[in-house]
Amino acid sequence: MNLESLDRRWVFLGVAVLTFGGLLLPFRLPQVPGETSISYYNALQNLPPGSLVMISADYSPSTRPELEPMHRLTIYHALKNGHRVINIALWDVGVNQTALAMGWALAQLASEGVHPRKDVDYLNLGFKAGGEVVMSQMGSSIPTTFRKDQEGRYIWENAEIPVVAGLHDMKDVDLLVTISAGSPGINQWLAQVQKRYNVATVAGVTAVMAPELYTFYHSRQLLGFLGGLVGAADYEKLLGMTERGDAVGLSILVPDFANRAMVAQSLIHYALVLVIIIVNVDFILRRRARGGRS
Amino acid sequence: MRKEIPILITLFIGVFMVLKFFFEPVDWVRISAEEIAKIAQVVVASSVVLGVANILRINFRAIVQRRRDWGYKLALLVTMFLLMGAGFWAHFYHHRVTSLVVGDLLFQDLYGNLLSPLQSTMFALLAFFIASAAFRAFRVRNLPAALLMFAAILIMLGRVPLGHWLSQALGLGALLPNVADWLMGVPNTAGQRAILIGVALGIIAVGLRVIFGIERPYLKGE
Repeated sequence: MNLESLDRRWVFLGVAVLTFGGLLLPFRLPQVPGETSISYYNALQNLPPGSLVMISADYSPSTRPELEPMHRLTIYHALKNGHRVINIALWDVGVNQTALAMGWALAQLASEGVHPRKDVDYLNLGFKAGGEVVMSQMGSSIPTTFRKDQEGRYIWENAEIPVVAGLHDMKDVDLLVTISAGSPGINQWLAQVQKRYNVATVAGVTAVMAPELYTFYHSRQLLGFLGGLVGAADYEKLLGMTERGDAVGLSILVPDFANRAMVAQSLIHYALVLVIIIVNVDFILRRRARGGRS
Repeated sequence: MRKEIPILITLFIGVFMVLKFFFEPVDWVRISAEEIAKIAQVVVASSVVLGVANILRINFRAIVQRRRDWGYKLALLVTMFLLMGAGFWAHFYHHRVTSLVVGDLLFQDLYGNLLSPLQSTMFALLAFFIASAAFRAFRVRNLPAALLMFAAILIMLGRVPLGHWLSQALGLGALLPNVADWLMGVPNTAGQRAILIGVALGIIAVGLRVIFGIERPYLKGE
């Protein structure tokens, strides 16, 4: 049998079986957080209480399994540590993702007896069209960029909304977090805001975006980042979520979703490596049989 | 004048945005650039209306003329208006949709039960195609292909928890994860830096050509 001409539907079937099997297996693998994930965690953990954390939802539901766990855990982490959280979105559906992540984080905090107050501890400024232009404008003035919040209220110089007190431009933000799946996203934040206004920045990104962030991480423009599902699993481990979720189930809403999904991802990776080795052995043997021609 | 006015507008706006970058403390530069940015935001927001009009124009004609796949186009228009209608209805009559907590409104339901699973499904299909592509693409045909394949294998083995477990089970400590980290942190970073510097220089060159009207993509190359 020639492996090169194997019907690709067998590969699809193998991926499907391993994915579902991995998600249903009743155990987790030991997660050892990577350096960039620990740096992301430390950037939030080491902020003094009351710091202003701006979280930008720059993604859509297509990358939800990778990014939503990071997003909701970041909100949870910031509010639990007593920081002020300002949510924004530069992708139109980012507001919906913020609503989902915020809802999850508030429910999780409530189960722990922590009850952050809207307008005092957190606020949602909503979506603003314009991408890089919006980022650049926020560097000069946030009140002129976001005149109202997501609910249509004039929030600036409003005594009933103290969460934005002292917030004028990006220099007043203690930590910028972008949960990013493309453009506008982390690369634009780095170019338009981080370097120009010296804003401490971290990012949660998809696995395919992670390799290009190492260069910014090494130059300390990025204090830390979470890359893909493995980054989300690292963050869950660092926040102690792995001790809370049930072991079986497919729901994205369980606190240790990324850790459970790592079983499926591990199986797929290892199966792929095995298949690549077998196919190459077959390829080399055939080449030799043909006299060295590929 | 058909060409000169757009070129002058581009030159004026381009120069101001560059000036703002270097002379932000100068009030008149900063204020002018802010006003230009506001205009840009309005233009970008207006493009959504143009986009909707274009979708309507193309798909409506195809439906009326019963062209190939007209049923899909009908589904596109129905769902577009359904989501738009639900969004407007929720915005004007139920402000809960704009709160931070997920409500049980029609818009959120459509988002959570229609848009979100469909987008996730489309993206998830990538896993199958990547697996199939990896199966066919990684062949030791020559030295660069072999290096690429071994790097991919080491990353795939070392970046998942099973890699830590396997590495320790074989008595290698954290060798596999460390090798994967080194590949990402050193050769990958070097390559990415080279690409980024090249891209940045290219962007500067293209930016200058557009600002000075040498290249005019907004005039369809005229």
